[in-house]
Formats: sequence, structure tokens, C-alpha cells
Amino acid sequence: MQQLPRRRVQRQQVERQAEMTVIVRTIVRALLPTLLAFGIYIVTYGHLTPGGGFQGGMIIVGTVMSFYLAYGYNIVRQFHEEDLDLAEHIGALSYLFTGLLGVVAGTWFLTNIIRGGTPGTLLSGGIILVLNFVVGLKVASGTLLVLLILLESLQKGE
Amino acid sequence: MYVFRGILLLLTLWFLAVALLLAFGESKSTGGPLGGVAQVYNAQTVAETTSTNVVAAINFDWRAYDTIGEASILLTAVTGVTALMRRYIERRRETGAT
Repeated sequence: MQQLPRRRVQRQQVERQAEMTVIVRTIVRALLPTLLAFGIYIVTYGHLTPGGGFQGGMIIVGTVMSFYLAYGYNIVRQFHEEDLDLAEHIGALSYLFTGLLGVVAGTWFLTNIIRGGTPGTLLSGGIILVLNFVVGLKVASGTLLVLLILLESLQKGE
Repeated sequence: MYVFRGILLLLTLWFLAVALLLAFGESKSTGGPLGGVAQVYNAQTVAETTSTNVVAAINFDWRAYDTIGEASILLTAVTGVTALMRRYIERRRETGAT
């Protein structure tokens, strides 16, 4: 018997444990880049178009959760909760340090000191762009962590 | 008992009506459909923050200090869930990430 690559064996196992039909699985897999790009777009262009860090982060979480719905629990088990925890804390600390930039520059906490650029282009808005990105990271990782723990509590113990 | 609840409901509605009337009356007194600070936001957003999204400019520039509180709510929620459901985190760690 031909030895299959490990990655392909893993993928076959995942496919066998899937909860939904092949139609749902294929559609979710095909939509993955679109949904992720949409979430990142909502975060990045938060200062130009409706949206922002909170909304875009939730879209990214929704992408992962659609994978859970289509493929079952094992596909979301690949996330390490330490990584998500770290990302959440990096987000929170980056927010505070972005605020401290204003104090360092001689004004107040969270003053928009790096404002500039022509309005309507991507590189404008100063700290709004930075804070949107930071909040998006924080919301995506934090909500994903909570949902993963709650999903683990739904699984039957051994 | 029902009479007492009815009176309480009427009092609450009356209070709400007075509060809303006061609020909208106040906004009308400054002239225009947008009252008070809304006019400042509408006129000054692009000039002051170089952002074209007024909501983002309020959330992350003028009221960025409020957004810290908003984000810390999420941090507290995550901390609470990880503290309360420690059992499941340990079980998740034992069964192993594939």
C-alpha cells in the first residue's frame, strides 16, 4: 500500500469526522480567503469606511466559527490557547503604549499626535489606524479564545 | 398590587417622556437638526483627524479613553471565562492540539 503524506492523512481524518455534507464543506473552504480578506479590510479601512476594529475582528472570528460548523470540533482544536492569550495581551498593551506616545510627545494621553496624510487615503488618521488594528487583533483573539473554551466545555469528557 | 404597578409604570413613562422632551428641546434650541457637539463633530472631523469615518474618529480619537474601557470589558470577560472554565482549558491541553 502506498504511503500517503502525513498532511493528507490528517486531512482525510478531518474529512471523516466532518459534521456537514461535502457541499457545505467545499463552500466554506472556498469562502475562506474572501471572508478573511473582508475581515482584514474592515479592520484596516476602519478610519475611511464604516467598520473598525471591533467589527472586523468579529468577522474574522465568524470565519473560524463557520469552519467549526462545517468541519466539526477537531478543526478548531489546532489553535493553541496560549497564542490567543498572548495576542490578546499584546493588543491591550499596544493600545496603552499608543496612548502613552501622546504623553511622550508632551501632550495628553491618547492624543492623536501622528495625524497627517491626505484624508481619504489609507495612510491617514494617525492613531485611529493603529488603534483599529490593535483593537481588531484583541477582539479577534479574545473572542476566539472564549469561544474555543466554551466549545471545549460542550465536548463529552473522556 | 396591580394598581401600584400601573401607577409605577405611568410614573416611569412620564419621567421618560419628560426626559426625552427636555433632550430634544435642548437640541432644537441650538439651531439646526444637529445640536450641540454633533455639529462640531460633523464640521471638524476631516480637518482635525484626517479620517473620513466620523464614528471611528469619535471612537478612537476624541473618545479613545472610553474605548480603553470598552476594550477592558472584553479583557475582563476573557479573564473571567479562563478563570471559571480552567477545567476545560486543562482538558483541552491534555487531549492536545493536533
